[in-house]
Amino acid sequence: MAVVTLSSRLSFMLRPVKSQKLKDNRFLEVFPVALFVTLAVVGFAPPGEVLAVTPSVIAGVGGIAGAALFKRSMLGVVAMGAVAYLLARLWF
Amino acid sequence: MTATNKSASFRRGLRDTLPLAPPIAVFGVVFGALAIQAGLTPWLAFLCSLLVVSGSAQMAMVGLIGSGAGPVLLATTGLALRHLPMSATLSEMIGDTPLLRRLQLSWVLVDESYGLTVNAATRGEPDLVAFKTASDLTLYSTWLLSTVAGALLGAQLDTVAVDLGIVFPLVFLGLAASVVRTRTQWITAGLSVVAAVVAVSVLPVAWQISGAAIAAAAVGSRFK
Repeated sequence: MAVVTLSSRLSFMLRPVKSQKLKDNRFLEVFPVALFVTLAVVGFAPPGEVLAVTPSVIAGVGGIAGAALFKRSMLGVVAMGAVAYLLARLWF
Repeated sequence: MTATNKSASFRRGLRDTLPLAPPIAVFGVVFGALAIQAGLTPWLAFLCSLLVVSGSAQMAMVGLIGSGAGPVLLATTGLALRHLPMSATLSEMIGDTPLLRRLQLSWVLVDESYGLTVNAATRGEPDLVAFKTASDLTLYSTWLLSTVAGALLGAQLDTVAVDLGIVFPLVFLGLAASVVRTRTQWITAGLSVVAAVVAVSVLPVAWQISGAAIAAAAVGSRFK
C-alpha cells in the first residue's frame, strides 16, 4: 500500500516539470477544480441515495450560498454550510 | 526567496491548516480504533499511518482486510490514481526545488494540503514550499498522534457514534469556489458534479473520486 501510494505521489515530483507542453496542458489547469468538486459532492451524497434531499445536501447548498455571499471566502462557505446543515438537522 | 517571505508563508500555512486539525484528529482516532478492532496491533496501525499517509486508503484497508491483499491493493490503486495529476500540478507550481525537498513534499501529498497549496498559489503566496511544509507538518503530526490515540482506545471506542460531520466536503467546496475562475474551469465544475453523482451510483467506493475527477477534467479540458 505504501509503495503504491508513494509511487503515485512521486510520479511527477522527482524532477521539475519543464516541458512547455505539460505546462500548457489544459487538463492540469482544470484538474484541481474537478478534484475539489468531486470530493465535495461525494462527501455530501449519502451512500445509496445520491439524489435524495438530506441535511448534507442542504449543507452543500448553504456552502454555495456562502461562496456567493462572502466573495468565495472559505470561512463563509464552511460557516454557511454548517448553519444550513444544523438547521436542516432540526427540520428533518 | 527571502527568509521573511519563507517565514511568513510558513506561518500562513500553519494558520490555514490549523482549522482542519480537529476533523483530521477525529478521522485519525476512528481509523486507529477500527484498525485495532479489525485485528491490527497498535504498532501496525501506527506504521500504516506513518508510511501510507492516506486516510481514505487506510479506511479502505480496514474494511477490506478480511478479503486479502488483492482487493486492498486494487482499492489503494484506485484511490492513488488522483495523485498523478496532483503531483504534476504541484511539481509545476514549485519549479526548481531541490530533490530532497520534492521528496519531502511528496510524502504528504494529500487532498487537504494540496487543496490549500493550490488555493495559496491562486492568491499569489510567495513561498509555496514553506507554505506546504507547514501544512504537511500540521496534518501529518495530527494524523499520527490521533492514530495512536485511537489505537490505544481500541475496542473501547464506539466508532459509529462519532460523527465526522460535513466539514471536509464543505472545505473542498470552499477550495473549489476559491480556484474556479475561467469558463473552462466553470464547465469542468459542472461536469464534475454530474460525474461524481454517476460515480457514486455506479462505481466501487475506492474508484469514485479518482474516476469522476479524472473523467470530468479530461472532458472539461476540451472546452475553451
